Amino acid sequence: MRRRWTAYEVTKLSVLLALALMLSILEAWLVPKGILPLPGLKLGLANIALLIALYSVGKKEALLLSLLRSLVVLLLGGNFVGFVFSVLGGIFAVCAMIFLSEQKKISIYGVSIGGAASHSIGQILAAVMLSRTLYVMMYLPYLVLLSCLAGAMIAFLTIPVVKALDHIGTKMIQ
Amino acid sequence: MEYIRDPLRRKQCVSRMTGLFIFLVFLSFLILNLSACKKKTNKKTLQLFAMDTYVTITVEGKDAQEALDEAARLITNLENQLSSRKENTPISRLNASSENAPVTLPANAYDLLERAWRFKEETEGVFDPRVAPLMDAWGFSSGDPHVPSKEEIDSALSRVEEGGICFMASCQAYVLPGTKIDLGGAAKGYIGDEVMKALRKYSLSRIILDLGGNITVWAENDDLKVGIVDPGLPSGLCAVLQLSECDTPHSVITSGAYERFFEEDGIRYGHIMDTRTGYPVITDLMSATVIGKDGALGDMMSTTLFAMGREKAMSWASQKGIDCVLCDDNGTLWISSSLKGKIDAENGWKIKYFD
Amino acid sequence: MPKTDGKSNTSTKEEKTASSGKALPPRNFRFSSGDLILIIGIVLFCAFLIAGIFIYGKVQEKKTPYVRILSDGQVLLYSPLRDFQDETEYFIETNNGKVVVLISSERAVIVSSDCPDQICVKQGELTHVGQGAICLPNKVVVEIVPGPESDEEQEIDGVAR
Repeated sequence: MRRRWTAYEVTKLSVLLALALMLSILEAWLVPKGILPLPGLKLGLANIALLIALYSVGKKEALLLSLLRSLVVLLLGGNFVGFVFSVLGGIFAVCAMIFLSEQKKISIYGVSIGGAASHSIGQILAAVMLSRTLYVMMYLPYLVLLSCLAGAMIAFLTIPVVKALDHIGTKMIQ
Repeated sequence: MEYIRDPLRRKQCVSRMTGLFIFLVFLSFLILNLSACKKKTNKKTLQLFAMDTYVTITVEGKDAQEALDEAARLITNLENQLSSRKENTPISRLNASSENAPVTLPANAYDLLERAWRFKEETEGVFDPRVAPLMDAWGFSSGDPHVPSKEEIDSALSRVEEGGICFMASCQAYVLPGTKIDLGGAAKGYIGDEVMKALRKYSLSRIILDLGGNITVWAENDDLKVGIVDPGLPSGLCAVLQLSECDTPHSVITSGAYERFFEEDGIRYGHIMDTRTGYPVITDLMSATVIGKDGALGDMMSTTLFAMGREKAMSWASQKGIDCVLCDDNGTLWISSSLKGKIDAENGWKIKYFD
Repeated sequence: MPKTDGKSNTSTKEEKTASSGKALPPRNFRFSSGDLILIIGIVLFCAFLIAGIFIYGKVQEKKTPYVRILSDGQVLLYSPLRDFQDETEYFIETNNGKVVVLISSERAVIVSSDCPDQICVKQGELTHVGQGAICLPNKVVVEIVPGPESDEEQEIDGVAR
C-alpha cells in the first residue's frame, strides 16, 4: 500500500463507491428480489463499477471498492447476514477478476463472468457457514450458471464506459 | 492501444497467488464431492413395520440376503404368537380362556408368559403383564389416548389386581376371570433374542437389530457403538456405549415416556402404567436403559427401573447386578460402575457412577 | 487516441506513489477463445457438482426421512416424518420474523414466512432425504435428513430409544 493517499486517490475511490451504491439502489428498484427460488441471485449491476475500477483505475482500488461497498451497505442498511454474504462474495469475485484480467487470452467478458461465478461461490460458502448445513450447496451449480449470464451482461454494459474513459485519457484518473 | 506488461514481480506474484487460491477453492469442491463415496461390503438392510413400530435389521456378510428373509419371516411369526392386540393370536385366546376352557400355547408364548409372570413376582408388581385393562382404559391400545374417569380406572385396577394365570402342563394355561394379559413389555426384547439366535446360524460378520428402539447387536470381530437417545431432545443422543466382546450378542433397551404419551390439559401422561395407582407412573427418571445379554429380561427390566424412580432403581440394579443407564430429569446420567470406560456422555449430560 | 503511458502523472514530491506507474489490464473487448475455455470450465464444474449432488441424493434416499428444523443453528425439531400422522403446523419465531412450517407424514413445507423475498416459501414441498428449504433472512432451515442411526460422523451402529 502506498504510504500516503492523495486527495485525488481518495476522490477516485469515493466516486467509484458512490457509483457502485447507486447501481445497487437502481438494481433493487428494477428487480424485485426472489423472482427465482435461488437465494442471492441478482443482476449485480454494482459490478459495473467494480469492472471500471479494475480496468480504468487499478487493482488495489478494485479490491478496496469491493470491501468498502459491503461495509457501507452494512452501515446504511444494518443487515449483518447480508454483509457476510456481500463480503465473501465480493472478495472471491475481486480476487478472481484481478487474476483473470491479467490473462492475455481472457477478455473483459471472461473477467466479468469469472467474477460473477466466484461471487456466487463465495455467497454459497457464506450460506453454508451461516446455516451450518451442507444442504445449501445444492443451489451452487444453478446459481453459478445464472450468474455467468449476468456477468456477460455486466461486461457488455461496462465496455462503452471503459472505452470512453480510455478515450478521455486514463492519465486523468490514474 | 497497447497492452502494457507489468514488470513488477510482486504484482505478478499476487495475481498468481490469487489464481492459485481460486483454483484451490474449485479443487476443494471436487474433493468434497468425491469423498461422498464409501467402501462397499455386503451389507443389507431390512425395514418393516411390526409390533406397532418400525423394525430395521442390518446384516453384513455372505448370507446377508437369506438372513434377512429369515428374519422377516421370524418376526411376523413371533408377532402373531405374542401379540395380544391382534385377533385370534395365542395370547388373545389366552385372554378368553377360563378354568374350563384352557388354551394350549405355542412354546414361545408359554415360555415368555412364565418368565413375565416370574418377573412380576420378583418386582412385586412393578412390572405386571396383567396391565392390559389399564392400557385399554387409558386408550393406549385403541389409539385414542385420554384420561379415563375414576370409575373406569377403578374397575380396570380391580381387574388387574384380581387377574391371574394358571400354568398347566404341556404348555396349557388359562386366566382367571377378568384377566387380560399384555406381553408388550417383554415381547420386543424376546423377539430380538430369538431373531438374533436364528440369524447367528448364517454366515455373517455383523448383525444389528433395531426393533422399535430395542437394539440387539452382534459382531464377529469388531467393537460396536450404540447410542442412547436423549430423552429430553430425542433428535440427539445422551450417551454412546462402546461394546466390546460383541461375539456374544448384547442388547440395549430403553424405556421412557418420551415417545408414547399424550397431553391433556397441559399434563403429560406416559404409557407405562403404575398398577398400584392406576395412573401412568410418576418417576424422577426420564428414561432407563438396560444393557445385557438377555433381551426379554432387559425389556422388562428397563420398564421396571424406569417406573421405580432413581433411588429404588439404583438399589435394585446394584442388588441384581444389572448394567444400566438412568437418565434423570436433571441432566445427569446415573450409570452402573461396571460400565465405566465403556460409555461417553453426549449433549451436555453429566455422568455419575454408582455400584 | 492518446496512449496510456503507464507513468504516473502525479509523481511530484509525493513519497512512493506507485513506483513505475499503474499497469492497466489488456483491453480485450471481444469475446475470445480464452473466454470460451473459461465458460466451458465453469459449466463442467457445475455439471460435476450436479452429478455429485444427484448421486449423494440417491444414496440418502434409502434412509428413513427425519424432518429437522434449525433456527440460527439451533435444532428446534428432529423427528421421523412418519411420526406426523396428523398434519402439524410449527410456528417458529425468530428475531427477524416468523416462519410457519407444515409437516405431514409425507412432506414438510414452509407455508409462510415474513421474509421479504419469500424464496423459502417458493421452495415447495420437501419429501426426500437431502431436500431442504432455507429462509436466509430468518436463518431458518427445514431439511429432510437421515435418522440418527445414520450418524456417519460417529459411525454409530444402533440407537436405543
